[in-house]
Amino acid sequence: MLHRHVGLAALLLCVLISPTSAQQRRTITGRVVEEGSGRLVWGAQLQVKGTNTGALTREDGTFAVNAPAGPVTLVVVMIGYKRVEIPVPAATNEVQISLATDVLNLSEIVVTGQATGVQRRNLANAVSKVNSSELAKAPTASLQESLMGKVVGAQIYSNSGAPGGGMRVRMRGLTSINGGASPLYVIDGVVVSDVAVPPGTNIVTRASGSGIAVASQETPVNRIADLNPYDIESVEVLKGAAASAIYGSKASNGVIIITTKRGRPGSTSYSIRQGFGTAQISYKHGARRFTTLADAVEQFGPLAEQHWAPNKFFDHEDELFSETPLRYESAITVSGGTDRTRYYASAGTKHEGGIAKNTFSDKQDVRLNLDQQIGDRMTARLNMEGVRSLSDRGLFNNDNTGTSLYYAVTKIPSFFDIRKQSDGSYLAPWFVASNPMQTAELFENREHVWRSIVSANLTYDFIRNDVHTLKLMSTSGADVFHQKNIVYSPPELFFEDDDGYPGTSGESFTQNVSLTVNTNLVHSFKPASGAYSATSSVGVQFESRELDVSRVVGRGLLGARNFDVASVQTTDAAWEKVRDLGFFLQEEVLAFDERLMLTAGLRGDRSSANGDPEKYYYYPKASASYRFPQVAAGRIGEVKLRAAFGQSGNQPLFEHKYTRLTTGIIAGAGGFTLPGDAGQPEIVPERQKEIEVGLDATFFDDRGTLEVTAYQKTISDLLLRRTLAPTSGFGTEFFNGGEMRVRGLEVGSTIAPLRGAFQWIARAGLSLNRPVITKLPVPAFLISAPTTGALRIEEGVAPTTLWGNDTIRGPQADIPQCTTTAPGAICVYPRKIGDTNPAYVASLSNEFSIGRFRVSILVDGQKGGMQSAGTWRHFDLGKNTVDYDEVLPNGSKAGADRVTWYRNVTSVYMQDISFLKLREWTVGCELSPSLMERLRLPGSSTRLSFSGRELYTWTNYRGGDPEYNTFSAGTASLQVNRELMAYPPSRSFWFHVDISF
Amino acid sequence: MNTRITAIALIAVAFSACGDFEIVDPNGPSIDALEKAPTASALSLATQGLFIQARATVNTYAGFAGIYGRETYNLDPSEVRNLLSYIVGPLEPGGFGIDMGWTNEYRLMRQGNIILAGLEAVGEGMSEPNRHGIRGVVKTLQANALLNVIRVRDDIGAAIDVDRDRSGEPAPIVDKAAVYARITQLLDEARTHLAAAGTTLPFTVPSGFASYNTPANFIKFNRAIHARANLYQGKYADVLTSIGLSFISTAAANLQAGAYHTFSTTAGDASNPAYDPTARAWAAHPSFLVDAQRRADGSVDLRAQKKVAVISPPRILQGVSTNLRGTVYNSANDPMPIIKNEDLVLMRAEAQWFTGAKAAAIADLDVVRVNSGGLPASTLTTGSSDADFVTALLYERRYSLFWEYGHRWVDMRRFNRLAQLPKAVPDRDRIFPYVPLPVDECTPRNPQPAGCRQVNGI
Repeated sequence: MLHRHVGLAALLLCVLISPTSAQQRRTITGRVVEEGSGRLVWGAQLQVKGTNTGALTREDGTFAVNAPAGPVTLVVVMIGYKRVEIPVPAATNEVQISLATDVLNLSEIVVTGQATGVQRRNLANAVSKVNSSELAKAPTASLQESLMGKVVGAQIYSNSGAPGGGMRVRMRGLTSINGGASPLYVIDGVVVSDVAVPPGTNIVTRASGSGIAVASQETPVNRIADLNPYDIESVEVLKGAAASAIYGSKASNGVIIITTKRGRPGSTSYSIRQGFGTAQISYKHGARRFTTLADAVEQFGPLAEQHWAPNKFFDHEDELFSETPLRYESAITVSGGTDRTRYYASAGTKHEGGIAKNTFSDKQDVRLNLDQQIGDRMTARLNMEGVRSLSDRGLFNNDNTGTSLYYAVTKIPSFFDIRKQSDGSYLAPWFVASNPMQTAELFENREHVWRSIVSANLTYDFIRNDVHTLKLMSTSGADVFHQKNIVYSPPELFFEDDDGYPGTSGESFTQNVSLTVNTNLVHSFKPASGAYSATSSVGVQFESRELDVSRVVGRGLLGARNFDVASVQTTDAAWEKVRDLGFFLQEEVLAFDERLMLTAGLRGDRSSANGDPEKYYYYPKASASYRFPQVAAGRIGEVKLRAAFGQSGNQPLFEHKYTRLTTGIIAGAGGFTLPGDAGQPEIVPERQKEIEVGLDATFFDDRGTLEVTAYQKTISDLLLRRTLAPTSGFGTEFFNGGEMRVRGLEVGSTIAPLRGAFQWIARAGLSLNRPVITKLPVPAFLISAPTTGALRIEEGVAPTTLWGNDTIRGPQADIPQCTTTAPGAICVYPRKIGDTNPAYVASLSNEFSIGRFRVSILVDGQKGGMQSAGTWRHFDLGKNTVDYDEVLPNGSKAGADRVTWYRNVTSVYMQDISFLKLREWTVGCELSPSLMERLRLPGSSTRLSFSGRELYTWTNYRGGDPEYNTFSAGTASLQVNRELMAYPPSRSFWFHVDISF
Repeated sequence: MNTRITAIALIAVAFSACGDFEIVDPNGPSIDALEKAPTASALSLATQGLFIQARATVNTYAGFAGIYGRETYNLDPSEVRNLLSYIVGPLEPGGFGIDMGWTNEYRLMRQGNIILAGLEAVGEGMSEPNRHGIRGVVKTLQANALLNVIRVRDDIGAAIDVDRDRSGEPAPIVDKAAVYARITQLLDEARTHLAAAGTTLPFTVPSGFASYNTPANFIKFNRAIHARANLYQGKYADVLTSIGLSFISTAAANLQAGAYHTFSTTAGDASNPAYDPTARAWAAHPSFLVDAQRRADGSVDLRAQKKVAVISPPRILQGVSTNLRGTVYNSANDPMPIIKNEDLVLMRAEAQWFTGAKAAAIADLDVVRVNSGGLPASTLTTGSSDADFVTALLYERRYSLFWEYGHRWVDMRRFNRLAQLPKAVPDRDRIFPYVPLPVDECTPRNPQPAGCRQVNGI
């Protein structure tokens, strides 16, 4: 029978000849309650086993389900509860069902395709799913931050501490060398943009060249931060190709599938959330105390005499970064509906003040999700989210003009007063271009985003009987945002006259339009024998993405702040457009009493980003899982073995296929010059092949689970951006070549040792991966320079191997650089100094509840990894480090010693970043009904909670937050982590009241 | 059945709107306009682009070669490697700023080679004299770029056979003599092309080359560069020949005439990057004022008065301090000399001295000394020693060519006088004779050329 369900033609054939059963029917009624509490369960899904008939429980927990005559089994499924099977004898037509809470999430439905899902217990892949309750424990700047430590196998890092976010996410380690690294985000079926558009501060900082904006220098916000985490019902993370193959050529970096909340039939329910919070700086570098005037004069010249005094000490980090900003958020949701119309609406506002003066991130959002039953067979869904985001992230990160706030702090001695003077002026330092207090007060770096994500979904049941169902599911959606960036540096800022054009005013306009059209036909077949069930799906997906950025800057402002009243104007524009078309087929079979699950699928994709936009690339997948129920009664429950294979792609980036001449103007005439990057007209997507095997088990009467997954990813046709010998005339060239292998292991475990009045749930996760370049068709090359740490791409070696300079006394016959060094003289040579890939990443969360109180704590961390501490280096260079004067055994001062060596010994500032973080904690309690009555509180439940994030970091890394990488935005997957003048890290504290009625 | 057909029809309609998958890059012209399907206009634009490429890193070149020759300092506190890497070192391939005088120059040479190949392919799309005109300009600018390479690398040599597959083996590094031979060859070929190029050049010559905007006049620039290349090789007779065909003039008003890089603050153009009005980063070496000779009225050499200004408080960084900022470039629109008449006169003086025409040499020296410096005539006589002459010559070259193309460093090296350059912190600082090859030139080569060894300096 099975072969009939493969392919659309066969599927339609099934439809035409679909048999109808002519059995006698009966109605089973009853009520579903929660075990223990007796609470009514609303919205539970009942199904007569082996058929497609079922029903949902009503608000009062009751149900009525149409069943065939004779003995049947009812399967009851509800998110958050364990699945149960209740045998109902032929003579019984009324049943009471009680559901046990499913703290281990074994019954949750996990996606397997674009329109299909399966219960976790049958799943053949290790897919992480994070539900709303875990997601929204303590407010974060972005969804990605909320996922930190909650997804085994994901490495999620903050790029800086600036309000509004800016993160990097890596799934199962390295997925590419120079291809895109960002996962694919899909919200309610619509692909949404996570692009990071830099604000344009480079025009002031000149961090890299003289362009208006340089993404890698400006730690921009990646726009997934716009989503409101409170509206999210669940986040599913498909990590490797074995799970994500169905998303084809955009899935190599993982797929993050976001499902938003929906209304349920019943009376309208409201919930109101009000929170207040604050934050404080969590790492300060400190500063040197200049104990003698001679020290001060040595570094700052004779003028230091006017400022220095014994014991005069200003803490500039306190002055600049020790705001205790007000943060607040308010949200209201309204949901409910009837059997035919359901709605979920929410509105919220959030203000996140930054610890640096005049920095903040504000967000307002509204959402409306509507479900409408049309006739008997059609359901229409509409999802609309509107977001407004406004932020000011100050002036931070690398600079070459002495303007970045932290940069100035590293250079200004503690005896110099940077505060506003009584007459409203600031003192101008003579040894650095800016006074950071003045900059913080006057400089504007505003980002204003309006975004709407809208999708419409139509489901039509062509056939719905005990044996067959045939569903059409079609989703169309758009993700549109407009971003306006204003960079305004008024003429009175001390540094503004340095270029001869006082006053800089920049405006950037970005428009992003992403469209997705996705249509699927899903046929499921359960023969009357119940021996197996099969689900076939076929779908087609079209996607178009367009990103348009235009920028204008005026320098030398003539009395007003608009860029067009400036002596010098500069413009910049970039436009990217990509169109993709893909189709897929998938067959899923559940057999042997739902113990065996088999899946096979194929995706075909074409894209305008490929060298040949006509060509389809195919990505197959196959997986199997088998459950052994009750392996050893009481001790080992169910054991599942699973294996999955899949392929996915990583699309070339828009610019990879083009070799674009640079245009310029000289003396009024245009001209072409060669670009540094040579494109590759024949570029193809990277291909990731992944084999994943795993074992899932439950223990001790479902009190514990263990999930172990081993995987091997082979990534071929690597998108490489090879550094060329400069004599070739090009700096780099893109090409496909070589192969990388990543092997990894993920272990996840949940235990719930205590249940009942005192409940304890602990979740632990550990993951590790080991990449190696297995083939490289070109000579070894470096990414970045050894002096600051470089990655050497070489066959047989991990691409995360970090090379740096070191010194040795010459001559050394086996070191090419040092063969002719004079005897005893110091020779500088590059060598392997570490690995940027952590040995492992681990997390542990604990949740306790006692009666109405609930406490949860999440810690996570990693062993290994390397990062360069640039801010610390600059404190040393400014002779301003807190330990500068410490005398070393060799008699020199610690700071001076580091400055002497750092250009030749990379490891002076390139350090191990092993860390453990107290990432998140919450303490909450639910008020008793009697107390609520006495306090005259409205509603049916009120919860109070205290929470905090990033409370403490245990690490030997010196120089701030070990996660930060100020140069991470942009495109390359593989990077050397370098922190430089990042917005400082902070810990945050919140108090929330949640009322629902 | 009807609903089913409707549904399928709807899907078909939805996906028929998918549109075109062939997306033309809107963000810049494709290199195909020069390589696959070259057109006359694209080739002209690319030739104009060579002048853009030529000026692209001139600030880095003049500034950092200036530090090596202790004319300038970069005291940018944001990036102290801009100072320490150039005065302390050691210079090693993976170090900071090593690609100065290399990457940009080879990019220009590659672009030139693409234009030369495009001229063959475009055929009658451009007239034969016009094609010769472009060939002549391209090869002259390529030769000048290669000369800028060898000025920095000197004894370690450079690559010359760079017209090859970019993905293949890198061009071999050849010795200094072979590099000069290629420079001379390119200049001579260029001259032949220009001689056959008719009366106009088929592209817009930038204003900095206004005096060389015809093939005949461009030859004068070509010969000036030819003279410079010969001067560096000590081929003094050839210097005199080339100078004779260049734009040399001893008229006081013409001393600053020459070929310049043009800058402008017009949108899309590049402003002069050496313009640093507050000396936030770029400052002048304090010795420039101290060493300046006195005029009859006791004031300093006019060139010192004109080219630096005193700043207060002095700039201090990492043990280095100066009270001078450069005033050679006083606006973002100021041009920067590539080669100018003052240089030619001094080159002729040098060549004449060493070919025996000592009186003429002194006379040329004085043309510059008196007119540009406002100084009394030189005390040299035809009986002066070569060493004294060189000292006098180097003084004039230092003050006349200050902050232009790192001349002082190159000149001191030519006459083995690098050890005379001052050090701010004597037991820490070093003077470097040349710069090693950039690391990306070393990584793909096995065995690595000698130029990949670190340079410890003196």
